[in-house]
Amino acid sequence: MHKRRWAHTYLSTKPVMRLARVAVVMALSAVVGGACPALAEGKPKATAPQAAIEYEGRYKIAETELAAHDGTYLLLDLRKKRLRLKMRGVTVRDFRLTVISDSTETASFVERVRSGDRIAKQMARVLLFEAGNRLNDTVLGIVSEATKAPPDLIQRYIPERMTATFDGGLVLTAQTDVDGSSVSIFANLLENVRLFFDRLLGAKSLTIQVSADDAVALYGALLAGPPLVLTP
Amino acid sequence: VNKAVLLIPAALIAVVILIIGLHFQCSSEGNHRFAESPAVKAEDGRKAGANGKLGSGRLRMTRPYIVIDRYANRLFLRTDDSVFLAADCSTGSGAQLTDALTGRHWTFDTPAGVFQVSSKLEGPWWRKPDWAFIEEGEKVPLTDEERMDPSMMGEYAIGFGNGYFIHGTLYERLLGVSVTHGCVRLGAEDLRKLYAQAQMGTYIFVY
Repeated sequence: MHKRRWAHTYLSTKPVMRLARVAVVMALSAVVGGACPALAEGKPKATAPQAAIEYEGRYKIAETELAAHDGTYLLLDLRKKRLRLKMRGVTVRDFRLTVISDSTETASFVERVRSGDRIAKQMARVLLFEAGNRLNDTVLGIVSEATKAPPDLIQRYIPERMTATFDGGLVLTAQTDVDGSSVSIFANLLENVRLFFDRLLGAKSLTIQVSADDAVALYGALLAGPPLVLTP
Repeated sequence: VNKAVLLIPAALIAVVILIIGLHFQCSSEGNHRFAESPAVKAEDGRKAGANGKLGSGRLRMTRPYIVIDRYANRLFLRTDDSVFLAADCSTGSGAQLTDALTGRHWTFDTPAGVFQVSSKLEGPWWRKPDWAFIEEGEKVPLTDEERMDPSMMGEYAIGFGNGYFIHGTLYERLLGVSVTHGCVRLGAEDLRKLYAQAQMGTYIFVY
């Protein structure tokens, strides 16, 4: 009897009252479905897929901004083991790389590159620690005299090890299997001290290995100070 | 009647809650989609660039393009994924020259940036500019006949604006070294291949 009264009340009321009940149900579902995610906004961490989608969106925006200018920029793709130099959205050079850093170091580096308001990290400085000369002194002297250009403008270096430091405490070291010598002992000493303090302050580093030919081109590209972006 | 008196205000409150709930839902969805609108705009920008104008957007290359690496002195004919030609070249030395008589000054650099092939010449002659004579300590000639050199530029020349060319050289042993006055020198065989592939309007990226 009691059950029947409840069913009667629920199912056979007038249209206005039925509409009112529907509104209540919709309101409750809207509050549960809508307001809860809104409340969750205050939580610091998104789920992994959400974070990936968010990063992909930020990456697209960053690359679009970089491609709007004539300068070069670097895209680091650790999954495909490539460093891509681009200009106006067009690939101008691909560098194949091997990651030397261990997985913990790499993960810390990746996390740092992805963090911050801007995911395109501006380059602060580059230093060639050890390198071999492309031209020996005799040839360099002859060419320099013939072209009336100072030798340091003509000489090119084949890096053994170089370091590029980016904003946000990021250090990218590239090495090759070339046997080189110190380019400048004083500059190396100064940079080592800087890197020591950078590490103390929490800088994250990644070491990669590239071929000698790629290293020459990479060093030349780094001299222009291209920003670095990590691909999703 | 009593039930109706209770339900109608309840319905009004529910409608208000519904509106608030929907508002929250919308703003929440908005947060998840924040990257989409700019990304769509970016795609549009790329398409605009692909229509042949440099504009402000990124370019999408459907045809091979030329890349010149001034530091490594390498030239490539490539697409995004494939390299069709990789060659040693020579780019500007960066040397400077000042004419003691007139005070005119030159810096022999290959300019960086994005260019397009603007001319293609077969059997080009070099019309020596003033600096070619000043550099050698010679008097600048008054007539064009004394300036013309039929052999210096090789078989072909590909112009990319402002008097800059990709051309051949008599000094192939110096390929790979920055020795030019701003033009890009290429070996005869590589130049032949590049000339055959490059068309008017082909993009040239110099960095």
